[in-house]
Amino acid sequence: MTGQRRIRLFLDSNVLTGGILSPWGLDKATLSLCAAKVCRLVLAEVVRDEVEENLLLHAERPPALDADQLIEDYRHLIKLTNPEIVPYPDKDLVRLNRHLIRHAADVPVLLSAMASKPDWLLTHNTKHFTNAVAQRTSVRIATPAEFFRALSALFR
Amino acid sequence: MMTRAELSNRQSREKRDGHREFHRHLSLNDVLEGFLENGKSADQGSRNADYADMRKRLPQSKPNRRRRQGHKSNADKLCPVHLLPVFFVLSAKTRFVQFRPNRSLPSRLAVTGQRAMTFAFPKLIPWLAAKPQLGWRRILFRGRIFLPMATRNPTLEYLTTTKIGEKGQLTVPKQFREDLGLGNGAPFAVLRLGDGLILLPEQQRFEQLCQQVSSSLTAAGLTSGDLVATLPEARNQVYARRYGKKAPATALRRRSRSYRGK
Repeated sequence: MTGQRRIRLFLDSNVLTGGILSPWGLDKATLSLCAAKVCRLVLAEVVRDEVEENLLLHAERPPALDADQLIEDYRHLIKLTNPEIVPYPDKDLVRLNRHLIRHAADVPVLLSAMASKPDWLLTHNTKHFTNAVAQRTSVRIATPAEFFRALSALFR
Repeated sequence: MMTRAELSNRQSREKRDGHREFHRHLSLNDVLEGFLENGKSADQGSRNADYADMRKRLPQSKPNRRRRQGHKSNADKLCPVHLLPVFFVLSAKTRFVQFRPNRSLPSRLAVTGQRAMTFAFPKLIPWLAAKPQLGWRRILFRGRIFLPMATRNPTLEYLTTTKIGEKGQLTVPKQFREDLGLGNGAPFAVLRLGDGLILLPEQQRFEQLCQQVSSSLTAAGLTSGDLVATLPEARNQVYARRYGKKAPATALRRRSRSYRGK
């Protein structure tokens, strides 16, 4: 380990969205840890674009929001967390690893996590990101609650 | 009774005999020169600690082993590594949370508070400093409060204990407030982890942006739950756009229905 080593957290889109929008809660706590540089945010481009896409989905629906401002704010706050960006996985790689997870749309996210080797992949979507997926990919998958439970075990 | 023999100038009051003679004092220049010398103490009064000769009080212990047992060192020659188990045993409440190298640890400890440890194990801290590969970084004191540093080079410091006031107010040590630029009314996120608390000074710009995004969505009648509910749809769209395939139909149908229901 190097002197700059921090816990690296790969956040799925639901945790990231919850962290941005919720005034409190474990999603917020997770993102606050990253913003305070206690943990390192590992952000896949696919996740970043997904959250942005989701904001646009709602911005376009009535009542119309100032989409440009919304996206600008979102991009700015992501920049403030100084994330470690994981690029999109190749198309071929996605096709070859289709078997890793049940839903095709989750494959790029999973491959990004595998490529970045985070300490934790935090998601609320435990129906898709199951224990079997975790074993198959050697990625430590947990919900924010499980992550904090594991952290608090260190303090007992 | 003492005779009127000439006394040293440094003898203390109770040893005087009232000889009523002027004591001899050196001139200022001679005194200043004296500070640079390791002169012998003129007095041996037992009540004056500074007269004690430490080398006489604590003589060098003789080897208690034969030559062929030379690898078994004496207690006073323990390597700091040997002291570590002792340290663990003596401080039952102390645990190491994480092992990471941090070259600045010894100086920080010396400056900011682990004085007791530095005092108890004077050799340990410099020795650990010279061994960054051991990755000795974090010390956790159970039940104490930690302030994660929001600096480029993250550090973990333990300054001192603090107490909760009458109304639950907590005094953050001045050094931490200065280091982090925390003024009156600075907002904190308080995170409980087991028996410990983590205080996270809020990154004001970051919080401000979160607030802006949140409030603009709230103004449109959207909640965090609404946005989370449509994330799978957004994921499918991103996937389709990037990898040129249609999103799974079953998933889309289900999510679209759930969105319309909101």
